[in-house]
Amino acid sequence: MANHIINLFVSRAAKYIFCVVFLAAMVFRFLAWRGLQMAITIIGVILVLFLLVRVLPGDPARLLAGPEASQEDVEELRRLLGLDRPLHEQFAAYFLSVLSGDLGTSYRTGEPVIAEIMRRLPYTLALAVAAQSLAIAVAVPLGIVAALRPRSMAGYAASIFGVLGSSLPVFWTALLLIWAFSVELKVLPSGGAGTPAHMVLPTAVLALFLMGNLVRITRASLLEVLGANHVVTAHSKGLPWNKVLTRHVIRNALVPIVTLVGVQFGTLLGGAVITETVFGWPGIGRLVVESIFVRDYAVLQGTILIIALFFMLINFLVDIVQMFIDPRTRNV
Amino acid sequence: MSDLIKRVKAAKRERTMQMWRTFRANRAAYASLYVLAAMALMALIGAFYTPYDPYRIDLSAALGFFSLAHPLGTDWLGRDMLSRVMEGARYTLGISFAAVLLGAALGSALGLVSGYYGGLLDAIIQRATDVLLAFPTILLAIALTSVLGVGIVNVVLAAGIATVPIYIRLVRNLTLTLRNEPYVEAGRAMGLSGPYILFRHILPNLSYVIVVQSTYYMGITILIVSALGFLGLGVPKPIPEWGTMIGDARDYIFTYPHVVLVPGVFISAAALAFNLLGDGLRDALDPRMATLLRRA
Amino acid sequence: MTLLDVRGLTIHYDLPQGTVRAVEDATFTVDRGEVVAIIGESGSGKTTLAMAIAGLLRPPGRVVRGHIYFDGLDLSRLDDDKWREIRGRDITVVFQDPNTYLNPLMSVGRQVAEVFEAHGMGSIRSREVAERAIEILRRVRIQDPDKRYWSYPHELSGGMKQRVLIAMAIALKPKLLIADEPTSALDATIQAQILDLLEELRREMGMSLLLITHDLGVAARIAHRIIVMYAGQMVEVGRADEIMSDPLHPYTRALVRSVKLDRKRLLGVPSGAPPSLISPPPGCRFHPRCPYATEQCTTWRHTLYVRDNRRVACVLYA
Repeated sequence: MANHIINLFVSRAAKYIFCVVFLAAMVFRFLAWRGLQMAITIIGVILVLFLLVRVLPGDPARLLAGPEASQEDVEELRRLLGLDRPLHEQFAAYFLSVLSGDLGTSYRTGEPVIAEIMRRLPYTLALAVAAQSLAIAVAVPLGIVAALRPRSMAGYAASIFGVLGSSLPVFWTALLLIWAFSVELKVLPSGGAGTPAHMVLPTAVLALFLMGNLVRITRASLLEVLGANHVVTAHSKGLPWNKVLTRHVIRNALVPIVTLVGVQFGTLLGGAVITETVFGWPGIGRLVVESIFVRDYAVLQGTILIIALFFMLINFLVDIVQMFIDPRTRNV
Repeated sequence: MSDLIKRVKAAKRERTMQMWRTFRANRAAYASLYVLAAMALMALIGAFYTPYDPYRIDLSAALGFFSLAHPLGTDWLGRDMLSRVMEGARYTLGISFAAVLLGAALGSALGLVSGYYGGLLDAIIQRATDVLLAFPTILLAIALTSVLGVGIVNVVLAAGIATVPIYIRLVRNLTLTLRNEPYVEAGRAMGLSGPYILFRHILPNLSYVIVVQSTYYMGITILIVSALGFLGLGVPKPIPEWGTMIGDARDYIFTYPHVVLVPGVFISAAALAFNLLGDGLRDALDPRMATLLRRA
Repeated sequence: MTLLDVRGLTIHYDLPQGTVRAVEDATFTVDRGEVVAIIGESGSGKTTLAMAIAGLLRPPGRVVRGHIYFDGLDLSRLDDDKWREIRGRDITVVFQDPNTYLNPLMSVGRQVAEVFEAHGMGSIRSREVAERAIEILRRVRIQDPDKRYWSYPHELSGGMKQRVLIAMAIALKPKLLIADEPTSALDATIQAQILDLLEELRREMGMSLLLITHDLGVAARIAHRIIVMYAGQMVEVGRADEIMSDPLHPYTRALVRSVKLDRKRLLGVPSGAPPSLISPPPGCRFHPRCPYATEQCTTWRHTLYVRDNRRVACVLYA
């Protein structure tokens, strides 16, 4: 009997190494399973995007060549692009080129699409990280306090943020802030990028929007856990309130919060389309809108593909984080 | 026997009254009912009567601030803002409503079938859902409008289809849990047909979840529809859909902000009302309070 | 020797729909080493009573009147810090549904170890505390306790989870263990095992056991005394063998008869739910279902009449 205990505690380090290896093994099994699922989804996404361009109004070769090109040039381009071949051959060709990292060429700039995306990515990333961090820093503590003290200032603030954040249209709050801070107060630029000041308004607009759902989920999740039976058990042990709160309430309440943050951040990485457009922020989201208006379908197709990949990747990372928090998700 | 039926009916009525009382206790939700009724009325009146012709250009009255003649001012072409907001209500709210109806009906039907029958059909629907869920909702709507082009029906399709995968997931998961309920299994054992069980036993039990979810989705869809309008991907040009009004006027934020800000108040109020209504409905339809009463 | 002395305890829930009179005027004692069972249907207030004794009553529930004396201490006057010392050490609870009363995100061993930590015996990360927790897990007959220490609730069966909850409750050798429907969520065979385990641990540790159950069969099996509750009020109190052989109150009679004939439903009593505790029937709360009810019962005021060494609340024994 003593042997068991010695075996168990002979080396703390060995224990932790075992735990890490064990978790790693589960993460690996999970990776393999989810990887397969994701592969199927990615093929589906590529197929959808391929078909998207086929059903778009207009002749892709004509669009690619531009309105001034001669009929012969268009025919030449059609052959060059393989648009005269059967649909499934075209898809195979497109699929292979996507796998090799070639997302096509912008007809406007003649540049590879991937180069344009890479140039825009840092802007989107910066805005996403800033807005998400701000939203978490404000919304999660606010939601927690609101759940614990519903009749406090924080409780009312949470109610207001919670409902306004998800009700005000982003383009409207953006214009409102431009009017207040750029036109009236003249303290912040109304658009563009370059200095940190340029980031303030777009970050604020996005953070307000994200906070809406985040405050609500945090409060609701915490209230639900506070009413859960296992919290009664924790009290019945005589555990001090602060330990009940950190170990049995907040940790459990984190599960849905992490999921929501994942979805939000994934959406942001896909470009905050509206915010980027209003503020002229040169990110991926604005690229989508620009390419729609100039009918640069290779760029549209490539950008949406990258956004979808990011979105899937973030969801996947969230699932892995979830495995660390919630043991029930470890058995796939 | 008839006494029993009377008692059951009374109990049902009592439960409905209880829900209504819970709903009324939520003052914000109750008030939002009035806001939405007013908006619906505005959309209805706007279809037959507006103070001015919402499309008539009068450059002499351009960019007027709030006045007695034009309570919400005029835009850069001198069009009466109040008339345009009234005219636009029908488009923004109507399109959003139609889109939610489409998304809820299509998504719920697919989710029910997918969850109840399982097998290959479920696998196919689920993989398709995975693909659609790989795009953020707003981006999916934008991508769809770029394919379909500008137009009222196209906006309904784009905004509706964008929410379909979310309904599929929700309804499928609920159906999976309900499928193993004793009364459903009893129905199967009695040889009731699949569609009968789906529509008579499963759908009624999850309908309230769909209703609450759809109320929230009205709020979200109003934002999506007006965002499409703002980007110029919504309804065709002169139609004063609220988001389109803001998108067309956005450069006036520097000079005549009221032209930009007025339609936004209406979008915000509509979305806000639906969100609050959703909260109220959720609380009223939540049977947990009843369980608490019984257990006490 | 009296350990627990409950006097005139009245508990209400203030809900928007009205005041739920969950427990009214509960008065009884539990001696050291004694097993007392509180019997009642769901909605009879027995769980509320147990939670109040364990200091776990949550709003909107509140004690309106009455006192709980435990080991000479007036529990209703304790502050939070003192309560925390008593909970988990002197008074512990085994809850009814092992599936929801364990934290799904924490290993069961740590959840047991927390009891030691809560009472100042070291952090749950310390080796001594973990060793003690494993020892307690072994005590409640969990196989391979050192492996099970790291299991999560969802990896264990219902019976195992209930053993873990019992382990927490006996870890510090409490004076009073309150078991709230400890077996109702379990299979019949597991039920017997858990009951035997509780009885065995009680005898070894010399603690008192307050058993809350709707199942008279379970109560008869291990209880010395039985308290029968109906709609928030005590209707009969007496020795278990006497109540089983000669039930006095009409409600108790129906209960005993149905247990002896092994029926799930009450015999000789019209079916129906116990009355609403917001607006209970006037007079005796059982009279709408009582086969012996007379005009008198609608105006009668609840009183416990002493009869030999029994107390019974029925006008038949006035």
